[in-house]
Parts: sequence; C-alpha cells; structure tokens
Amino acid sequence: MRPPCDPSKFIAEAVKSIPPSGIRRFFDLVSGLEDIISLGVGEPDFITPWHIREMCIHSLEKGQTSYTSNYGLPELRDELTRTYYRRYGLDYNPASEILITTGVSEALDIAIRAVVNPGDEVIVVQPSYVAYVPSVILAGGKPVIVSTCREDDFSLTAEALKPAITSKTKAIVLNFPNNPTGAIMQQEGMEDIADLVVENDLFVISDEVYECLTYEGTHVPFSSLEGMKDRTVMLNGFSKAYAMTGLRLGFAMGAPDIIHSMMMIHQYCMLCAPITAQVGAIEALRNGKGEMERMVREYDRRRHFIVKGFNSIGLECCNPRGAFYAFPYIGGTGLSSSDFAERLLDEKKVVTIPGDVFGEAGEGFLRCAYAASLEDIRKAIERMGDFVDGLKQ
Amino acid sequence: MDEMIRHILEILENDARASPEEIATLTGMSAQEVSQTIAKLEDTGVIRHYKTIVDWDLVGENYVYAVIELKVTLERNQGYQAIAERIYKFPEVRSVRLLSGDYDISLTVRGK
Repeated sequence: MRPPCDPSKFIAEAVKSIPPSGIRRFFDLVSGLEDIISLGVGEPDFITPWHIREMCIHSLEKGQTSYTSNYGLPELRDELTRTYYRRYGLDYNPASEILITTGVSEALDIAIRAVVNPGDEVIVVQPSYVAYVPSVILAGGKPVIVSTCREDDFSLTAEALKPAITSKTKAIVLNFPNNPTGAIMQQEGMEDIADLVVENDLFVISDEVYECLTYEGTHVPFSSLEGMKDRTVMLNGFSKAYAMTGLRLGFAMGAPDIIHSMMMIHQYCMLCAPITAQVGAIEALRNGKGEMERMVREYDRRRHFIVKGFNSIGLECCNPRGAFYAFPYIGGTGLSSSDFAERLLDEKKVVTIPGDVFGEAGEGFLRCAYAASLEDIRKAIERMGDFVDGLKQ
Repeated sequence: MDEMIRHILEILENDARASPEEIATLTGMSAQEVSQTIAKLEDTGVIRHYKTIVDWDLVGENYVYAVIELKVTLERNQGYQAIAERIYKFPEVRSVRLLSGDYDISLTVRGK
C-alpha cells in the first residue's frame, strides 16, 4: 500500500510567505450574522448601467463568445486611446501601448512580473491596497514600504520616498486616488517624485483605478508628467467608475516594450480578457459618461455626509478627495484598529476594515467605504457614535 | 449647469422633503446658500412643484390606470399644444405626452 501524503509540503515558499488578505479575514467574521451594516466592501452599490449590460446581452445573443486578440478587442483599445487623448492629451498607440486585462488585479500582477527580477526592490507606498506587497513577493522581489501620514493628507512626498531608494530599487507602486485613504496627489508633489524617479532611474507602476472618482481638483495621470510616459505603466479598469466589478475588466497603458512583455505573460496565464466584458467596456467609454458622472455625484454627497458624521461623533476624519473611502482616526479611543473594528462588528454590527490591513501606517484608522446607501451610512454612523460613547464610560 | 445646482436638484428630485440643512451636509455648502439657491430655482421655474407619491391602494382607493393613444386631426391655426392643453384639464388625466409614430398623443388616465 502506498503511504499517505501531506500535500502542504508541495506548496512554494513564496506562497507560504505572503500574508492572508486582512479584508478577507474580516469578511469571514461577518458570515452568518444578521442586521449587519457594511461599510467594508470596496465595491459600488450601483448595478452596472443598463445600456452597458444590454450591450453585453446583445453581444451574447449575436454569438460573440470567442477569444479576442491577446491585447484585447481593437475597438476597445481605439476607444481607450481616444478617451485618454481627450481627457489628458495622452497619446497611446492602440496597437502596441495598450493591453486589456482581466481586472486591474491581473494588470498589477503581470506588470510587476514583467519588470521585477529576483532580489529587486519595489517601493510600495502604504497605506494602500492589499495586493501590492504579495504581488511583489510572488514575483521574487523585495517590497520596501514607504509610509504616508495624515499630516500630509496621506499624499506621498519626495522627502518620504528618498530614504527608501537604494541601488537595488527597480520600481515604485503608486495608487492615487488611494485605497484606503482617499488621498490624491497634487501635480506639484508628483513633479518632485518624477524628478526622483529620473534621478534614480526607476520605473513606476501607477494604479489609477479610482481616477474617475476624483471629487476635488483634477486627476493627473503620473504618465502625463513630462518624461514619465515611457517610465510608467498606468493600470486602470472599469470596476469602480462604471460599477462593473464582476465583469473583471482592466487595462494597462505604457511603452510598447513593457506592454509587449506584459502580454507575453498574459497570453499564457489568461490568453485574453472575457469578450463580453470587453464589449460592455466599449459601450461604457462611448456612452457611459452621463451615468458615470451621476454615480460620482452620488458618491460625492455621501462623502460629505460621512466625513461630517465621523467628525460629529468624535472620530477625526480627513477629507478624502478621491475613491470612495473615508479613513477616520480611531487612535484616540485607546483601541487598536483591529480591536475597534472587531468590537464594533460584535457589539454594533457595523462592518469596517481595520486600517492596519493596508500596512502599518494604517494602524489607528478604519477604512469605511461610502459605496453604501445614504440610509446605511446614516445608521452606521449612529451605531458607531453609540459605540464610541460606550468606550468613554 | 453649475455642479451645486445639479446636486441640489438631484437630491430634491429624490426626496422633496430634504431640508436645507440636510442638503448642506451632502454638498458641503452652507444651509443659507442652499436655501437661497432653492429659492432662486423656485422663482425661475426650474423647480416647478413639490409632489407626494401616494399608494392609494393602501387606503382603499382602488384606482385603475389606463394608457390611451390618440390620433388627432389638427384644426387650422392650432397645434398639438392646444389639444394637449384641452385634454389635460380633465382631472382624470394624469399625463399627456406627444408621440412620434402611429399615434400623436398618449394619455394616462385614472379612474375607478
């Protein structure tokens, strides 16, 4: 008889070394509970606009169920070229400088794998989305953390970035508008960072998935700064702006060599993004502006409401200028982020995400998504107010 | 259109009872600015009226609604507007729409 086997011994060291997603862990705590109000999930509460869904349905009816080019449908790449030229004067060649991916998550993974050699250092600015560090580790790179702080409104400064750069630094991952802080970057601060990037010959992976959710000022793509287009791969997608999370569609824009290298990985691991989602994305770019702006205005109103609400219950909250997250400071209560979030869930049934999930710099804060109805936000703040009052007694 | 006016109109279109204070919280304006803007929108006719959506079935008023499509012959010197104005004076008429296609006018009427 053949001996039993422990399959865990086959698991690669790199996979064992990545931390579990703190967001996921928190969702496991929620399952089975009732009367929950969730400010946890980073997903629009809107359904994909009907004209986009209808176009997807129509494409299925016509039998459009084939693979597409590895790079994605030419019409979609043409629309992206037009859109970014119109918005920012950026000129990307649809034939060689755009790759359609299965969500920004895939774009992030293959962008990092396309540029990182084992041992390369990649600077990750935190607090930030939970995927950056694991993606660097899985590519054999070494993540180097640079923290932003609330005194700077969670913007990245060149002063904070400079000490982290070594001779081994290959790239930097930026994410503005930022998840979880809602911070955006002003052009002036970005120019200082661009200078450092050139001085140290770095590459920039810029996750701009919240681009369209910029409420104050104008979004500036990092690649639009002078000399940055060829040093930057811009990652973006349709999930947040057009409420298309489940359709899994993202894209990368960058220099032909970078995009080609990403495509080399993409063709073997994904082949192409789902055609139905690509058809929907074309419709979103052509005719989705009005609906998108309507959703953005609704987020903007919730943003005002939630920030005022947190400040009124004694949780100091900076003004998030982008994305759909508020990041109130809870350090004054004496609880850690995790304890606060777990007790809040346990005692008041409100789901938030502890800030430390997004890096040590997030300790003392909570991520609260305002992609929830105004009514839910109102109730959540009431319950959180009761919770904070309870802590004082 | 001014972005703030758009915000105010969208909020009121969704909830006509939203107070200036509530609107101020949602937009970052002051309550006074909101009140002044609403007054201006009322004066200029942008805000035509505030209505209540009633579920008459719940109070035992079982109304029946019907959609009627009309084909009309225009009289000399009279356009569709004049006909529409005559029709909507009937209290049973809830809406009047000008159509393109086989019919000219579509009415929604309410009766018992």
